[in-house]
Amino acid sequence: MTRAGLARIPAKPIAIVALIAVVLLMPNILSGSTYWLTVLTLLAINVLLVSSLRSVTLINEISLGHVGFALVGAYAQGLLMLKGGLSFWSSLILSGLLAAFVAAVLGYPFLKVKGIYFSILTLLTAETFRLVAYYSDFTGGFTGLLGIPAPEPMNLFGRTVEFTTVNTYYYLAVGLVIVALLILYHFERAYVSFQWRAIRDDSMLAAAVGVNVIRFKMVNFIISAFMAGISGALFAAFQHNLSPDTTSRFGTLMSIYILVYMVVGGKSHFIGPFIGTTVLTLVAEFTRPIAEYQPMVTGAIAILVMLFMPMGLAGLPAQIRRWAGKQFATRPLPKQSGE
Amino acid sequence: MALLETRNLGRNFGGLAAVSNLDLVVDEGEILGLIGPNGAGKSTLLNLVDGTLRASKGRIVFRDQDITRYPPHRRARLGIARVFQRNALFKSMTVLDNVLAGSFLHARHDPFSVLVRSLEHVRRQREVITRCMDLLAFVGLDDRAHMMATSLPHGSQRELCVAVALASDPILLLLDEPLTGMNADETASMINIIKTLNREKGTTTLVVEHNMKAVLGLCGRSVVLNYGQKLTEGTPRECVADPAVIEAYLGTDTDVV
Repeated sequence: MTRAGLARIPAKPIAIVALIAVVLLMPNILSGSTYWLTVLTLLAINVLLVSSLRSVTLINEISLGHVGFALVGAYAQGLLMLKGGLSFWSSLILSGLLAAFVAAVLGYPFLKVKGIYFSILTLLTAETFRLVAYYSDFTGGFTGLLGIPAPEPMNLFGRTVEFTTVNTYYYLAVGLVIVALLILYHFERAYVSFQWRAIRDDSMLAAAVGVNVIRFKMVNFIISAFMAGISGALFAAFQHNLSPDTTSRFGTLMSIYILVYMVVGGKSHFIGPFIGTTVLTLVAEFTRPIAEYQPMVTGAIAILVMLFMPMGLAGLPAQIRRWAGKQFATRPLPKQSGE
Repeated sequence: MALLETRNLGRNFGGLAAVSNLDLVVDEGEILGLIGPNGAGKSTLLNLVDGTLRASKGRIVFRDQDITRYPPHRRARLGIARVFQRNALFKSMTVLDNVLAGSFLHARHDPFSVLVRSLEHVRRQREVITRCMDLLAFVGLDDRAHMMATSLPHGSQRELCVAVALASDPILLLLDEPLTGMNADETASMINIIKTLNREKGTTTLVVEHNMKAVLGLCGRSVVLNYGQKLTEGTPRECVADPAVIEAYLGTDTDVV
């Protein structure tokens, strides 16, 4: 791939390192406030879920079923730890793999259709998973899965670290989310980026130049489901209880919410889900006194962003640059089209 | 020698036979013109050959290999490249990236060497970029390599489409109305591109085109389709003079009310 603005690249790693440093020092900044650390841990888990959702937009599809994969991951984590007696780490990986496997089975028929049909299929799948969890005794029925243990203590540099409180689980969750995001980023940028971009831009032309369209769509869907499953598993080990209720985070409403997070953040940028989820979570936290109007606030923000920032919050710098370029250009901009 | 052969090829859309019982032979190294009135089945035939559509009946043989059931990407890897009637380009990419995509995609990338950006991988990438710039120079777009593909004017986009198709080093090039909407200069340069390619690389070309003057200048042989069937074939001059062809295009006297 070629890039015109090579000079701009070094700024990015610095920003990322700074961001990671802030994230890691957050418990100290917040001086261990359990409430805010809980908010931030859930935020990190949601960022992963929204990023996995955004990953599907790279092949030009909108999935409304990622909470379904999160549910598969969460219940797998809970059941493997409770009934299977497996450790946190092995059930974490198995939960992700199970979600990926489900995506692999469903992916072929689902990805043969496009656009709204794909969205509807994924939406119905998520709802089906939720209803199965709701009605099956194996998954604890409508009361849900209770008493999922925290990750077992780890021996770090001769010190035993327990993960029963949010102060320590925060690091575990955030660390895993960062690793997962780096993997997603790598897939997007290096390994299969050309194929995915080609499919997104014009799937017919992509096939004509030799891309196995359905295969690369499957790769995308499976990776994204794996990440959604991991986010669900992290949630299960954090909350200790899972509910298959409509109002739970596995309901349809949550599918819509994470879609809004993604759009507000800007789906054309990798950082978009992080920005969108953070902003809207903070807005939700600060409007807690008027909690019943909170969906309206979120909706209003979504509408305003879509109207005035079509590229989302992450696209704002580029938008400002273009606007400034137009306002303060001393000489005419270079002609864009050919002679 | 026959490079591509269709045997009793047919495709139905509901009750309509867009192509029926078509036996067509494309010889190695020729430029074959495919002409016929609107709705004759020319684009359908190209879609059948490149795999966008599946044949309802009959067989397609490419280099003695039955490709009737092959999906489009496998046919592309065998050396069949297609230029669509619309300007099909990768919209989010620059001119150069479009051509790179055209050549990269069937090169097998070993995930590990991509991950660590091995010297071998970087060297190969450089080679591909050089080759793509050569291709852009060939179609006359090398000076605009870093512009967005969609910002090019129509004629140049058309040339870019050809460059994308050529990036895979095709054996058989399928062109669907390459001259549509072009002015005289652009037409001349596109004809020149197709001819040079055929002369220097021996690329066999199957071209659908309505511009008769261009077909006369370009093609050694042409096939006329009407209602999905072969009406006649021969040199373009013979075809144009054939009364059956004139009738297909203009109708007979009795049709005129």
